[in-house]
Amino acid sequence: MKTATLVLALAALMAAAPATACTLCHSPGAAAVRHQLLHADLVRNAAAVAAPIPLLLAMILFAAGGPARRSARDA
Amino acid sequence: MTRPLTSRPAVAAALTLGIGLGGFFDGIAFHQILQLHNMLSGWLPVTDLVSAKTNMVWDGLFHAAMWLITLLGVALLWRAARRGDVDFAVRHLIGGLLIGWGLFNLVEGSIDHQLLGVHHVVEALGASAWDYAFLAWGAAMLVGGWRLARPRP
Repeated sequence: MKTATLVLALAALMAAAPATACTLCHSPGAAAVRHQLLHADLVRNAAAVAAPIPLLLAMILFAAGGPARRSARDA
Repeated sequence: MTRPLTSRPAVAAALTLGIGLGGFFDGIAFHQILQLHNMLSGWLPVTDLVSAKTNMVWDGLFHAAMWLITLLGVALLWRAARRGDVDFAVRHLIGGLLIGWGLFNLVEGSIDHQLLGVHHVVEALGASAWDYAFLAWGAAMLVGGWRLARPRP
């Protein structure tokens, strides 16, 4: 009985379909991900994700540019 | 006679690295390990595999941007090292890193959490005190970093 249960469990495990939903896969899951990604407010979502980047880059430009701060160590 | 040293290129490079590493910390710790939120979990709640994987793509794009900023920091550090007149004191490195990480928290927290609501620090709670704690943490790092890196007479 134990052996039969084990064999059944292994068979079920082997037969289980993997949830293939990688972004570029050809599977229903992958198609659903791509649909949600590309068809539902793509521009709005991309703009929201990118929104902090210009401000952070401006801060880097500000920090890197401008007058040099001379250290008194070797002045 | 030696040229006077400047700290600005070192601090700017460290600040840039701080922004990138702060972004990586947020993504790795909060998005992936603790899974407190995802990039768009406020607009696209993670309720099933498809929404989780869609958020994962946006997380990846956010990480890609942080990777590019970190690369920019390495380039700035390289450029500063070649100048020959840059003061590479440890306090400039630590201070710059803290300033950058603090700026990341303040900018990302203000825009993503407060202004747009694309996600919140603890998504299960929605807008909560954790969002303000995130900003306060950023402000503390910014002030601490500035105190370390500021020019001294």
